[in-house]
Order: sequence, then C-alpha cells, then structure tokens
Amino acid sequence: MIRDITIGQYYAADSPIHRLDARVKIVVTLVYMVSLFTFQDFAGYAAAILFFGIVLALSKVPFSYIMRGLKPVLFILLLTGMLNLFWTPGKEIFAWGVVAVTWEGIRKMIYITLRLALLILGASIMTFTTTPNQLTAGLERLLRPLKIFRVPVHEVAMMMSIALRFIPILVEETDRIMKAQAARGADFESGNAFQRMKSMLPVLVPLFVSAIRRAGELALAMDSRCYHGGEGRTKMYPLRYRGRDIFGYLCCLVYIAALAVTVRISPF
Amino acid sequence: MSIRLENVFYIYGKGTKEETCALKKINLTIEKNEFVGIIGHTGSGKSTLLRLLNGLERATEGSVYYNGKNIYDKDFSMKTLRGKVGLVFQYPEHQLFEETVIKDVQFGPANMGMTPLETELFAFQALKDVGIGEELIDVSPFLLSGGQKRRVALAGVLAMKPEVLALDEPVAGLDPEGKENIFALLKRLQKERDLTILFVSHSMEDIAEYADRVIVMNQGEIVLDGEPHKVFRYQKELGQIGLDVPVSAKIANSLREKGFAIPGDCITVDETADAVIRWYQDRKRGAV
Amino acid sequence: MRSGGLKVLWRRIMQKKKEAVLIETKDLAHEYGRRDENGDVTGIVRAIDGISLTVRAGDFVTVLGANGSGKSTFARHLNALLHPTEGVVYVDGIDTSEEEMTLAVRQTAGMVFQNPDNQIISNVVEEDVAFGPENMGVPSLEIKKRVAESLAQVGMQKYRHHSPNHLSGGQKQRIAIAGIMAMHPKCIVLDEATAMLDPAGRRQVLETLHRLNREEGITILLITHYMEEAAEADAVYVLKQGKIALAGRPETVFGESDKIKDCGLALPDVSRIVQKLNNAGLPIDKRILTPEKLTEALGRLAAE
Repeated sequence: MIRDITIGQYYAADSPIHRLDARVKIVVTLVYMVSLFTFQDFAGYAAAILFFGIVLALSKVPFSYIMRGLKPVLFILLLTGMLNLFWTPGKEIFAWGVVAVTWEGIRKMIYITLRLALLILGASIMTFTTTPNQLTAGLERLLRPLKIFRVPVHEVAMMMSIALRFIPILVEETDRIMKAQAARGADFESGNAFQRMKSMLPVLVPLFVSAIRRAGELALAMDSRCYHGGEGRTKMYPLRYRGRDIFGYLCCLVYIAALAVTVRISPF
Repeated sequence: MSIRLENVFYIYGKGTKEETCALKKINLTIEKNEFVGIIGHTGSGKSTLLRLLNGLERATEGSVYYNGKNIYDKDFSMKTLRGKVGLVFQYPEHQLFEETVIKDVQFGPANMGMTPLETELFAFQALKDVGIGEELIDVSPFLLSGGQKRRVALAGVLAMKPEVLALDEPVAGLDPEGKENIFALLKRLQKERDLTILFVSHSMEDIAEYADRVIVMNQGEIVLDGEPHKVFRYQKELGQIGLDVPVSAKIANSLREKGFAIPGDCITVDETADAVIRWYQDRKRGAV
Repeated sequence: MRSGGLKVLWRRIMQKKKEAVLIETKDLAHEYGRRDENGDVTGIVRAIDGISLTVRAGDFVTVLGANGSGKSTFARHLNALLHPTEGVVYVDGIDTSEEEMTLAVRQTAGMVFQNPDNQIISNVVEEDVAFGPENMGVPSLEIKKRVAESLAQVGMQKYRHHSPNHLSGGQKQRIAIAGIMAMHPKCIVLDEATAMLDPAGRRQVLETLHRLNREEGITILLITHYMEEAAEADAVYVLKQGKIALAGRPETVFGESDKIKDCGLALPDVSRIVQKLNNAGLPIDKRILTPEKLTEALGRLAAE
C-alpha cells in the first residue's frame, strides 16, 4: 500500500528537466495546474496533454512509472467519472431508472477524469525530477518575501526536509514495532473498527515515544553542528537562474499563449 | 519440542528489480533444550531466520515444522505458535507501551487467551525470573534503565510460557555487566525452565562462552553448523567470509602453528589460558 | 561578535604560551533534577562529580565507563550542550559557559552521537556533510571543497549523492564524522558512537578515527564501554559514578583488573588470558594487549 504512493518520490536520472532550477519547476507546475481549470474544450485538453507529453519525454521518467502514481487515486478518478457520466442532464442516449447516460455526460466524464489525472501527473512529474531538498530549497527561496509578514519560511522549509528524511525511518520502525507486538500475540486484523483502532495502541505508543526521542537527539545533533536558525546561513548550492531556467519559463509562456489562442478560436 | 526447517527460501520483493534472496535452501533442526547461537554479517539472513520460527515471516518456499506439524497448514494456529516460540526483539523500546511494568508484561499472556488469574500469575513469575523486583512492577517501563527495559521486554515474552526463546541480539549495546547478567539469566532459564534458546549475536566470544551449538550464516545460507569447539576450527573458512574466530581461539591456533603442544579445541579464555598453563608446567617438569 | 573574536585570539595566544592543551576540565560537576511522572523535582542526581582532566592537542583519548557512569553527561559539556553546575571546562582556551562563545566551542570540538539515524539531517549524503559549514556561514565554493575533502577523509566519496537510508551503521557514522570534519574542528568527541554498530562497523569507525588522528592531527576523545577500543589510545580515563576511577596509559589501566571489574567493565580477552597466566606464575608482561604480542611473548618463553 505505502509502496504504491509514488507522489513525492524522486526518480534519479539526468535529463533537461532534472537539471532545471527547482523554482522553475514549482512555478511552472503551479501555472500548469491552474491552467487546467481555464478551459472546457477539446483544443485546451489537447494543448495540456501535449505540454505534459513533451515534459514527460524530456524528463526520461518511464511512462509506466509515472502512471503508477495514478493507482492510489484510481478509485476517486473512477468515482468522479461515473458520477459525471450518470448525473449530467442533456441528450439521453440510454436511461435506466433515475440514472441516464447523456452525450454531455460522456464528454464531462472524459474531461473531468482527464483534468484530475493531469493534475496528479503534473505534480508527480515535478517530484519525480526534483530531489526533496531542491524542492524545499526552491520553496524557501520562493516564499522568502513572506518573511516580511513574519512567516517562518526557513523553519518551515527545514521542518519539511527533516520530515522527508524521517518518514522512511518511521515507516520502517512502525513495521518493526508491529512485528514485535505480533510476536506477543497482538492481532491487528480481526475485530470491528473500534477494536482495530484499540489494537493499534501498542504500536502507536512505542512509535510516539521513539519519535519524540529521535526529535530530542536530532535537535541536540543540530545544535552541536552550530545550527542557529536561518540567520547568517549559507548554502552549498545557492539557487541561481541559468539560461536553461529562463528557457523553461519561456516554454511555459508559450504554453499559456497557445492555450489562450486555442481556447479563443475553439469551436466548442 | 522440535523445530524443523525444510528447504526454506525467503525472497524479498519478488518480481521487482530489488528482488533479494534473504534465505537460500535452509535445512535445519532445533532440538529441545538446545542453546544455539546464530552468527553472521548484517544482512546474512539471521534475523529473518528467527522470524520464520514463530511465523512472523512466511517462507516463500519450503516448510517449517513445529513438533512435526507443518505451521503453514490451514488448521495450524499461528497464535499458539507465537506463544510457544517467544521472539524477543533487539530494542525493548519497540514493544514497551503500557503504563506500568506489570501491565506491559501481561499483554502477551492476555493475547494468548489466558484467564486473568493465569495472566497475572505468569506475569509475576516472569518478572521474578528476569530479576525485576517488586518495587519496579508498578513503575512506568519508560523510566527504567536500558538493562532493566531489556529484562522487562524479555519477561513480556516469558509470561506467554514459551517452549522456545528466540532472541535477536539480546546484548547489543549493553555494557559488560548488563551483558553478563542477561546471559546468566538465559542459561538459568534453559536449565530451570527447560527452555530451548536461540540467539543471534555478532560476538564470537559470546558464542564461544555460552552457546552449545553455533550456526554460521553467510548470504542467506548456513555455512557451518555444530558444536562451537568444532566450528571454530575452521578459522580459514570463516576468514574467507569475513568472520573471525574468538580471540582465545586465534591465540591457541597460532601457538599450535608455532609448534606448541596445545589442543585444537580452545575457544574460551579459560580453555586457552589453562592449555598454556598446562604446556608451561609440562615443560618445567620436563626440564627438572 | 568582533570582541568575541578578539577574545579568542588573545586566549589562543595565551594558551600557546603555556602548552598545547586542547581540553581542560577543572573539578567539573553536573547535577540533574530527578523528576517524577508529574515533572516535579524529587531529588538531585550528581551525574558527574569533580572531574579534572586535560587532553593535549593531537592525542587520542578514550573515556571508559559503564552505563550510568556519567560519560555521556561529560561528553556534552565538551560541546557546550550542557553547562557545569560546578567547575569549569575550557575548550581550546574558551570557557564553555560563556554563551556568546558557544558556536566557537562547537566548531572546535565537534561531536558524534550514538544513534547514526538521529544525527543525519539531510536526504543526501553531501548535503548532510554541508550542514555544519552552512550553519557557520562558510561561502558556497569553500563548502563544496570541504565536503569533497571530508568525504575523502572518511572514505565515503563514492556515496556523495546517495541517500543515507541505505547505508550501513558504520557508513552512517563515517558520514557523521565527515559532517564534523567539514567544520574544520580541532577535536572530535564521540559519545558512544560505536555502541549501536556491528563489529565491522565498529572497525570502520575506529580505523577512520585513528587515521584522522594520525594524518590530520585531529584530537580524538572517544567515549565508549568497549575496552578494546582503548587499546591503542594515548590516554585512558575510566569513570565510575561520575568520578575518575582510573587514569593512565592503556597498558597501566588494563593491568588493574580488579578495579576495572569494579567499574562494571570487562577486560579484553587477551588481557584476561595474560592475567590468568600471570596468576599461574608465567612471566608474561601484563601490559600485552594484542593476540600477536601474546603469541610472540610465549614464543620467547618457549625458546628460553
């Protein structure tokens, strides 16, 4: 189950997309996601799919690999698709009691499912091609203006990267604790929902105790390595825009322009 | 009581590109009341082997028999097996969760479906066995020292009245005194409670000192299995897989190579020291 | 900040004049409040109680002690993570209780902790090594240079772009050491950094430490309960209940078998054999610590 979630995972490869500055990827992804809500027609979807296809091809992430990211949300995709298929009023093709399949329904189903899928795929191509550290560094830099409003940008970014480091450790630890309790006859599978929740207590308590201990030790280790907040801190790889990053932004602009044109002249 | 493994394979992530064979064709019989040490590098499959014994991990191929019954049979109760083969994990922190020591120790027997009276009785007995005094039974397990936590975790398994005790690195990280106490306790349990004991260790010296039988694992396979005095004769073979023999055995072996009249089965401090002393006294007597 | 810098400079000059003492503690004591479950103080524990010792620059010093002997508390004083209840600690001439000098202390005496997982901050090895210098405000190019250097010093340059999650315990501890080396310290304090490792990992870490000590002149203060790790040290201190119970060269300390046992420690097997031979009247030098030396000595005895 946990293994199926590919969102947030990194796919190591050397590609033009991997080499882009994280800020470019964050901004373009956001723009792309917003753009998905600006059209309702075939031409818009064609442009969006084309843009995604080009990025995917450039990124060297295998098609099957990125599609795995849709697996955990398959149910939601199907459900929304179905709802739209059956509950959209319009020209009926087929009716069965209260539910009716209409031409409008079919179109809406395809568009909504496509939109959701592209949203997820767009976000995953960003995380696949950007290490968590680059991602947090990019976010930190992009959100820096918020510091004026006393938003602890550096601290939040630091917390994010530490969380990313410790999630796999805690997942593994949960597995070990569950095994240790199972060795004492603990049963996590049978019983009703309430009983099952209760049976997780012997797992959650050691897990929390351990997480708190780890946090304490980590804080000490950070202290001893001269950590004192973001003030006066330098970076080994400071973010600096290069030619290719400007090119990245330009490509995004071209996509927006193409979208604007196609949406306008689209017959639908 | 006996445990038998027949042609056991254990494969992680089958079908993925990270497919690894943690155990390869393991054939093994453990008899009642044995004290077995399992040794090997990190990743040699020794922890997986322990987890197979109580059904916590399921062999990808092959069968495990407990008292002659196949534990993968449909009518075999895994729950009972978990109670019969008590598995103690390396870090007590992974299992202690109750408010008090006594409540924590009762968790296992209660899960086994014992009556409240039995549960309480066995928990008290187990705590007494591991040497946790009455003054500590109502204390939170989180306030105990490292050595005490380990004893309470052990008691939590003992309270299920197992016939076999399988321990994953029971003394790792303990100081010498804590280590000696745990081994003395295990030896006593083997004798007085008639338990069969298996332990995984990284220390050749501990195995030489305490185990009656040693199983050497390398890359998922059993490479040597037998009485420690016999197994540690294979210094060269062990060296090839990056394992040492106990320091005492090393000394005895290199003395023998130098032509000293020292028997080939010295693996502990006492045995080597006694052999050298005997050699010295013989020589002195010869000179006189 | 500026006056702080001058202060260090002045102290360093004064120090050089005296002798090359890197760490000095005088009557160091530390008390903890013992708390019950509600967090109320119910008693006072004196975790360390009057420790006075000096470590010369370039030495390899081992501090031994059983659980609860106060050795970790002692370590934390050297890194200004704790401040003395009584007494003083000087690290390279700086009094660790001076708050504005904390970062200077931590940079001079870097610290490696017990649990390898809980001291690696980043998802990528090189970024973790860079963490210290980044905090110190070292310029980017210089950080890159230092990261490459320190990874080479611990023999982990191959893993530069790896995630720490798939490394062995010994490798993780070497990354932690590299992270300290990148801060260009004079001394590394290791607080039971080998306790959670398998024998192979322990060997890796010890070899790395001895090499750094020999080749880079880094002062090492190794805190452990494994006596074998003290065999090649320049000086050994044994702690018991917060006090120094034994001190001296390893050969001398290892000879005191009764006291060692009394401190909850165990002599290495070689020393135990030597001791038994001595008791039986064999004339073997009781300072012998390695199997090779022992067989040599017995060979000489046989030749007589």
